[in-house]
Amino acid sequence: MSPPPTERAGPVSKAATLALPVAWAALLLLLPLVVMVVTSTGSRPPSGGVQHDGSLQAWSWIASRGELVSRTAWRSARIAGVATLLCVLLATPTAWWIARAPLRRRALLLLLVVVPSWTSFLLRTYAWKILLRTEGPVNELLGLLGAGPVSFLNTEGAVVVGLVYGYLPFAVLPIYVAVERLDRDLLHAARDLGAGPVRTFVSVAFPLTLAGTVAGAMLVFVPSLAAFVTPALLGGDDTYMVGQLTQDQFMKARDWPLGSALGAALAAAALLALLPVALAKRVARA
Amino acid sequence: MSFDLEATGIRKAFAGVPALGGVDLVVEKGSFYALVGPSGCGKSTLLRIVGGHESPDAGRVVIGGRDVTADPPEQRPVHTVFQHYALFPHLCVEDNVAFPLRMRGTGRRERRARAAEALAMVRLDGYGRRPVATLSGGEKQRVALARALVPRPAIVLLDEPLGALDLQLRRAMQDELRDLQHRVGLTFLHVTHDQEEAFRLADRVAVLHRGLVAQQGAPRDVYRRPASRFVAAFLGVGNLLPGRPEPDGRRFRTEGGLVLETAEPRPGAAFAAVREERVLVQPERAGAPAGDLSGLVEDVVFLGATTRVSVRVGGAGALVQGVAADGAPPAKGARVTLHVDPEDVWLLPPEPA
Repeated sequence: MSPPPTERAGPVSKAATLALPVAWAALLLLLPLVVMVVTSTGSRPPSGGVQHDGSLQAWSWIASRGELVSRTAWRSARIAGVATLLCVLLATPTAWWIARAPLRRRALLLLLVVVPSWTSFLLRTYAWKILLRTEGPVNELLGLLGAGPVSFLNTEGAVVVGLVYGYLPFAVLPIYVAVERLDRDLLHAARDLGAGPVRTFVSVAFPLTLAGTVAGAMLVFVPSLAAFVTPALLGGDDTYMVGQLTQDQFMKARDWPLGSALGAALAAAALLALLPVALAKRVARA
Repeated sequence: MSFDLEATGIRKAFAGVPALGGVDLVVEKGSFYALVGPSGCGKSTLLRIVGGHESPDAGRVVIGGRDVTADPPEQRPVHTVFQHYALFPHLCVEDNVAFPLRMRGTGRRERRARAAEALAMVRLDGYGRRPVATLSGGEKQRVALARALVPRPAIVLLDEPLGALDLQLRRAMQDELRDLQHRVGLTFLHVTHDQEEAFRLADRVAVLHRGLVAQQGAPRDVYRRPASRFVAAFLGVGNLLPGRPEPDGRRFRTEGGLVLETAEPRPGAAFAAVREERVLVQPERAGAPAGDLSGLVEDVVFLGATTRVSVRVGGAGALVQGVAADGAPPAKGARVTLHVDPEDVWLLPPEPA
């Protein structure tokens, strides 16, 4: 089949239309990456910062401390993975619930999902620190129920809670959009053809909203992988994540080349992790 | 005689607005039954209640002798062909057709064999591996049919299944649907707003009006003997003339002063229904039969197979629709004779208040 006829645009006007978004992407996405990679090939002057001399000492440091870096990276991936899974598990029913609400209530519910993002992420993470500390409200409640104080803070669990709380809206919104677009007739058809509610979800609703679920999972996973505020506030020595390692190079060690190298490595790892997802989608579409 | 569907006293209201007001419907096993009526008459709601997609406020649905009123759709031995097909876009044609078998736990081999068989039945051999997005409207329609037929349900429900097709394809699919129903021998319950489609397909039809069955019966009987003014108008009877019977009962005097002879008297009748195609309009001539009417041509409309002529008859001016006799149609203003056989004058009771 030939592609549907589109309005004929001359090569000049086509280029002009594309120029702005391309420039935009180059400026906002590509340029920082280039700066980061270039910085990673410098060396740290005694006073800190970067000296561009084409040295690979930052990368060789990473290679020589492979054990530390990979342990931190795996821990980060694990924490981000669990947070992503929980976000998807919580966001899916939420998104369905909102999508099935009466039209007028939907806008309100979506607003409620987004409203917390209007205050500072740092502030909200501090709030969790207060909630979860040993003398905090959660433990007081547990005390009333006769359960002893639990030290939530400084654990991977606390970091996961903080990440899930922080990034849940990013999972809810794309899943909501996918559910909202799903043709309700297909759900009726599945029930009509003998599928119970669970099989209707598994065999029809889930596969048809998978794109939204994958988008939501990516939007949670990538910032979780690079998180540094949440583990710094809610975690401890045992929850040190790649984002913190990177951050510490800039803010504590003043070693810009090493920080940049770590950042570049993280970006590359995230890209590698998401590549199969992108390829799978392309295959599914073909 | 056994019945596949017995629905009794079905009532349903949406937000206080009644959609069905106590409908009884009995569908004989193996028959092709059509529910026909204008939009908003409740026919689709009734179908959805039979399918289990809507629950009635009152009444019972019995399918194959089993009361399924409280059962969810997946537990009813019925499958629906949806108006917009509702094919699963993430599955290929074969997997769509095999879907109900998969839900029943039928093995993979048997699923494939039966899906292929069903596809052959709707003349889509070899389409199994295609994604549904590449199909035309008519092909999607056939896949939806195959999918509903493949597990051999007690009843196949068809919700305006041809509504989205263009006229030519629609006519072709009607013939095919009828033929298919004869071959598979399953009970079909078909909803349409198109009375011609209902007559063409069904063994029995029910005309719905404002949530009630206005009339049901064999298409020929319903067509020839509509039970009410509404049914007659819905079935396209061109002349519905209010009036009352003469004391002898054999003649009917319209409000316009027309007197029509009828073969089937009905005491208390309030309307005479005469199909326009049964009113023959001829140029006026001497020696016309005694019962013929005469009048002046007011309008002439060419309809293809026939030419419709509107004639002003009698002093008070009753307007009668007829068809022109063979030959050149009369011109506007011409004086013509109308011939109506008494067998074609059908009397109707007054409208309920």
